[in-house]
Amino acid sequence: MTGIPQALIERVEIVKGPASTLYGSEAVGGIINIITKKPGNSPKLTTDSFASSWGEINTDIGLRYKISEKTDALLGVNYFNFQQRIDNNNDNFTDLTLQNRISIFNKINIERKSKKAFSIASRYVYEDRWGGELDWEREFRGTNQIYGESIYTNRWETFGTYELPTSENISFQFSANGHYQDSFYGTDAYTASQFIAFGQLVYNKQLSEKNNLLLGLAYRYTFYDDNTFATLDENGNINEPSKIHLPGIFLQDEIKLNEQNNLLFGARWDYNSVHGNIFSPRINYKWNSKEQTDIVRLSLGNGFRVANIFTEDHAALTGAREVVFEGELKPETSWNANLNYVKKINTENSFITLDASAFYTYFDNRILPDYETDPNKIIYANLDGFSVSKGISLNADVLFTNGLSINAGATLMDVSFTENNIKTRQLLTESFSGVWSISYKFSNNFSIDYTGNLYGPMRLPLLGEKDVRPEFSPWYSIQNIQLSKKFGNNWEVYGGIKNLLNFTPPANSINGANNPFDIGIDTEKNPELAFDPSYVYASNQGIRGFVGLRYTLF
Amino acid sequence: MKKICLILLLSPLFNLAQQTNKLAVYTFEEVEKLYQQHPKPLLVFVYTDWCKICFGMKNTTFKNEQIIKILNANFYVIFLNAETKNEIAFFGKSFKNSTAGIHDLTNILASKNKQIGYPTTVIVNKDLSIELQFQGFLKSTKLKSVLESFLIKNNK
Repeated sequence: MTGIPQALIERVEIVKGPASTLYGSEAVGGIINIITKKPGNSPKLTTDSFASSWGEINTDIGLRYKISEKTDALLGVNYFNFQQRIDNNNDNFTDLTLQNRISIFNKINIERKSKKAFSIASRYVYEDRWGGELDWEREFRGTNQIYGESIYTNRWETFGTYELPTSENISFQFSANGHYQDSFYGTDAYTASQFIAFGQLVYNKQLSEKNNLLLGLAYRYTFYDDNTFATLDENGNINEPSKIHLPGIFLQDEIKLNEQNNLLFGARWDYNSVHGNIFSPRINYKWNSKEQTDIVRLSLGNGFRVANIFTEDHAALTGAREVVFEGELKPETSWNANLNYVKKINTENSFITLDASAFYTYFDNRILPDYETDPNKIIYANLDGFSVSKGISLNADVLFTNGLSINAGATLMDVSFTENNIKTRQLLTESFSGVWSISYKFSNNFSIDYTGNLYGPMRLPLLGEKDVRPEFSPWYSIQNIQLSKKFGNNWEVYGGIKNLLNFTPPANSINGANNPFDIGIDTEKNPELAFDPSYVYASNQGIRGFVGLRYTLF
Repeated sequence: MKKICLILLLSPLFNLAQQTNKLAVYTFEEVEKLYQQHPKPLLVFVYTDWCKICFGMKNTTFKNEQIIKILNANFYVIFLNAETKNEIAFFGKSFKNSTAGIHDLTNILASKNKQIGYPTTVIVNKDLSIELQFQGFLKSTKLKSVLESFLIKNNK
């Protein structure tokens, strides 16, 4: 999500529940869809820059331009820089990773005689980030002199849509991306490259007034290679990159039973060249009251996801623990059910939307990191049992017509895994989380925003029996406040404070910070002395101020 | 015989009830036909499915009895879904959804200072030119005064 200037985002859609048919079997619990603006509805130029009291600088530029009479384009550039070695908790480690990042986004819209869609977007990101001991310099990269984790990332991606010039509604969607990581975690090198190419043909047919059919053919190619044991051949000798071909076919039918009842069912069949057949059915049911003020949605489906440990779990790369894969890791498979109720209450003074959801996901396989069996290792293995993620979530959105808006939500969840009939709560996962946002627009173009998060206790990974740190994190809250003022049609100034309560995890969260290379320590006898940052459960960035300026030309 | 008489007696009552309780909303094509017989100014409400304020305004301002009375008597009301893919014909001109994804009518009606926002309430006068445009939520009291001053000004 980084790198697309906010000014180019039209809206963000959140689809709750399994959405496998159109989006693939990895859409287990839902999807977040970022929709960029259409060139016709975008400002000519937008700039947004802000700086924080920690020395972070961020600039976003958005531009609308014409390539030819029939081709409109949107360009977005994002630049972020943070180079201060701040250590407020005095553990000799940088509190926030130092970053230098540039991201360029471009979207082209080509107008055709038939008025059918053709758009191509592309994005390039380059990032140089590092965190570690305060006196780390680039010359120490990969050495055991001073500890530092340094990551260079190069990423490009392109995606687009083309509506075929047929009388029937057929569209072709494509995307490709390349991701290259060159990194060091202390003395451990991790270099990885991933290339993905994807194409999908979707045929949309309105069979009757009440029946809409979607038929599709998809193909995805994934190439992944790294320097770890995850990409070695069967004998563990030669490097063998992972190459997966994934052709698929899907069908989805949406039936409007009547003005109030809507039924959608779909099925997708993919063939994974390494893991075999994947069948993902899905069913969605929606009921709405006559006036559309009450809506109930029920969705059921399954998910299938191939876990990629080193790209997904930073903890596998950092720290002193040895990473072990036990057996051949199989894909994660799950079944998900989601029930959602929305109620809209409208009065002349306020518009209220209440949203209640209940979710239940049953995993018959999950690849979870085991920090506890052996404090010197992180063990990844197929689950010998099952894992359940379930919960309820409530959200209230109140828009007062006098300019005040309040949005508050809370989620209560229970995420656990059960092996040998023993149920264990998942690590680093809170049972309760709350979020809120209160905004008020004054009549003189002045507005105030107060936002925050509240987290309940999480179970934390300890290093053996002699680890003195608490097993559970405390209740904590991160709160922010912002004031902004508009000047005329084009300028806006804003400023505020982030992390008002100045909450950070305890100073000893990075274990063994004074001896990151474990010199003179027998980590098997005394695991509680080993270097290990896995306990860090929240950001180390304390209270800071920021100020920014926005300019928009229509 | 008795049953039919009752129904005949009650039907004018039903007609009255419809006129005072429900807002008459037309399509562009219907308005073109009605306009030939009886020209009236138009009120076009431009909305989208995902816009909460649009939904709220439809259920409050446009359900207000006084607003309904003024609109039903003096205007032709059209609710335009800004994202409609339908081609709309109006007075010899054809308006389509262009490739930029925005409908021609949305560009014409919902654009103020080159920005398109939802909802936009547009008052089109009898000459079929845009007289007034309001972006954002319009409370019934505000819309009432806008409609009344427009009618006073145009009935001179």
